[in-house]
Amino acid sequence: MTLSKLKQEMINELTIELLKSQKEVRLLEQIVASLTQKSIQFQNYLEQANANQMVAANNKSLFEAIVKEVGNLEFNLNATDNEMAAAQSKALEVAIKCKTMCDKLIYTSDTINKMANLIVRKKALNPLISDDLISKLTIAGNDANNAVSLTLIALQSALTTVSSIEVSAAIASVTSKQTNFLHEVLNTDNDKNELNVQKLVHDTITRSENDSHHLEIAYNQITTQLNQKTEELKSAQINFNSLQSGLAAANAAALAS
Amino acid sequence: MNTYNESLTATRIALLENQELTIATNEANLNGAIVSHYFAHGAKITAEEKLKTTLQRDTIYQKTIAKTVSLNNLVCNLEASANQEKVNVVQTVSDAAIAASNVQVASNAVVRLASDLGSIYSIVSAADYGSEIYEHVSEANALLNNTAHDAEEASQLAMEASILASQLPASSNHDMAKSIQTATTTFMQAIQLQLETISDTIITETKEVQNEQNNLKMAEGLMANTKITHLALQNGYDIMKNEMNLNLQVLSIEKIATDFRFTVSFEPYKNPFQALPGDQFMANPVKEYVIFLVKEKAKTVFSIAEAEVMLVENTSNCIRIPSNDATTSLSTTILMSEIKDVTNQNMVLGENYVVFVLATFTEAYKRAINAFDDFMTAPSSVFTIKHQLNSPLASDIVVKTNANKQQVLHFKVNEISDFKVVYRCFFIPASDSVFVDLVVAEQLPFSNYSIAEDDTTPELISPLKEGEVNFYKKVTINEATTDCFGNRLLADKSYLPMVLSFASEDLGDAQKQFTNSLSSFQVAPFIFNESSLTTNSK
Repeated sequence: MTLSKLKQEMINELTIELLKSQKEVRLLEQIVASLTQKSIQFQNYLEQANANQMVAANNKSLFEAIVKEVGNLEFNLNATDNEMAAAQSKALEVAIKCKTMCDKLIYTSDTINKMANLIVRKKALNPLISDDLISKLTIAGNDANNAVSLTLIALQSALTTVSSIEVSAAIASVTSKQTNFLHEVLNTDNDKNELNVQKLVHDTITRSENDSHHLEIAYNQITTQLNQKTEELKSAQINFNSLQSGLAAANAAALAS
Repeated sequence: MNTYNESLTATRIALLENQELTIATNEANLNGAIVSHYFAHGAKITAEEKLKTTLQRDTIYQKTIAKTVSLNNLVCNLEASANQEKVNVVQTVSDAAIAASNVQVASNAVVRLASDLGSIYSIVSAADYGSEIYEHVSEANALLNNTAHDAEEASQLAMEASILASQLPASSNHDMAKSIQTATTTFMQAIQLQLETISDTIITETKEVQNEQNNLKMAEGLMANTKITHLALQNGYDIMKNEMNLNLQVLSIEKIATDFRFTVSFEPYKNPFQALPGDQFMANPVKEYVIFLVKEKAKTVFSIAEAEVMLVENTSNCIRIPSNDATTSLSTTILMSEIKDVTNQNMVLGENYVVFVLATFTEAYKRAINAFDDFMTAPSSVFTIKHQLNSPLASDIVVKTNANKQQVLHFKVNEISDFKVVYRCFFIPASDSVFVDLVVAEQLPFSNYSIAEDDTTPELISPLKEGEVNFYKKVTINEATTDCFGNRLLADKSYLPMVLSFASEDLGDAQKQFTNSLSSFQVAPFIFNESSLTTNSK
């Protein structure tokens, strides 16, 4: 084979290689373009999912604030209930004691009056009974009247207090029951609870967390794939460029001869 | 050659060539329209799925707001009760304080009375006023001391009661109830805000869906029109072939064992005029027909002169068919291995060929028309012999869940073991009547399909065909897997698994020896299970 024919064969081979390389570069360009688009798309999905997750997390913390406040009130109301009971029982004791006092005082005052009358009658017969005693008896009589009036007033206000605490305790009990119910509604996660907001809040969180998680995995996978194909493309381009130079050199050499 | 015939020949060739070119251009347009339609369909489905997802979010938030409103009612009632409690407790504290004061005052009065009696008793005790007085005074004194004792106890108790009452939480419970109300309102407002945002998004996305529906309709229209044009052009071409080219056809390209065969058929060449009775030579002007195989790239240079020369040299690179009665069609079936082209080369797979038919006239006919040239057709339509790759049968494609709860596409395909085939698997939304043909499938972007890998634990077993090997392949569906349009797979949505058998790029030049193939739409759909993806275990 002549030299020029050898050169021509070499040029032909190089040309074939070059075309092959060109095709390879084109295919890889398409793949890289496709993966790049997918990567951008999944990045958008991920951003959206993360935004949803933040909203869901924020909702959850707002919801938990409600639950916490209800818990605080429930705790306090339990204490209130105990305090109410203690106050109720004490107020009743006071009223009973006042009644006892009242009854005894009235009896005693009657006794004093009887006693005073006796002594005054006796004094008529017995001048030895001192005037001092008589005046003391008068004072005592007056004081007894006074004491009875005041005791009746005290009894009245003691009984008013009993009634007043009764009302406070009753309404406190209502408040307690409402709080307990609220606590249950907020914390019970089953189908019977018609107001199961907790489930909705948690479900939303779980969904958005799973979504973000899946998308992260997907995005990483796509990125790895994209990087790999980009490297392959670079190699293919380098190969193409070198073949192109080689062919140019071969053509130049062929022309020179 | 006779100039009239030369003109006719030139016309024949030009006509058919132009028509072929027009058809090729239109076919490119048709393929473009089909692919555009596919992408338009994809865009519509994307928009619809986006909207569906948003509507699902909307439903959840609607439920949430409804329940939150009910919750808020409970909270408002609670606040009212707590407020009432506050008012009552204030009253109670006041009452208890007043009672304590009154009891104290009463107690003091009793004590003073007791001391009065004590003084009287002293006097009576010291003097001697007689036993009757002494007894009465003594009794009164004793009773009063007893009563005074009770009075002191009462005053002590009343003070304790007042202290206990004052310790009752007057405003703290109400303050806490108000905090609950504030927290509930804040939560409610946040949900409401979300709903408003979602509402706006629904409006936007609904418009998008409408837009894409319109675009799809237009793409459908274009595709339909281009298809109609295509069919019409084909009809026109058939008529031209029939009128001008002896209806020359190459048909029935088939594989026979390791060889291929094809059939050439054509109408006989007829005398344009009715033959006179008894003149059998005029009725059938043709001595014999000779079929030549030419590479497409050489079709414009192969001439009747070259054909005649080859006949004179008694070439074996042709197929000779004796003439018949000139009324019935002629055809012959040719084995690929038995024919060479006019350059004496064997027929190869993947190469484009045409055939020419030369009709050699009888001497009598030539004398009668005073022309000594034979007739040769214009080139036939281009044909190519390729291997048809196999697709897995619809019944051999299945999606199953593995031990790791992942959904895996399994399939089995029979194929010649030497063929280098890549199996591109993709998922079509089942409910949307998506049109995917081979043209579309071959143009799917890299991201929208998954390349099947070998399945070492095959799920399907079928009998073997001779010379073929069962390939068991699988694709595991993961977080990055999308449908054929690049959309994320939707939970509980139904998809059709499709497999494109694609001749590998590694074949290089030899790739053109193969025709790719797409599996059937009559495959069992599968439902995408979102929990098959990795769960966030927290």
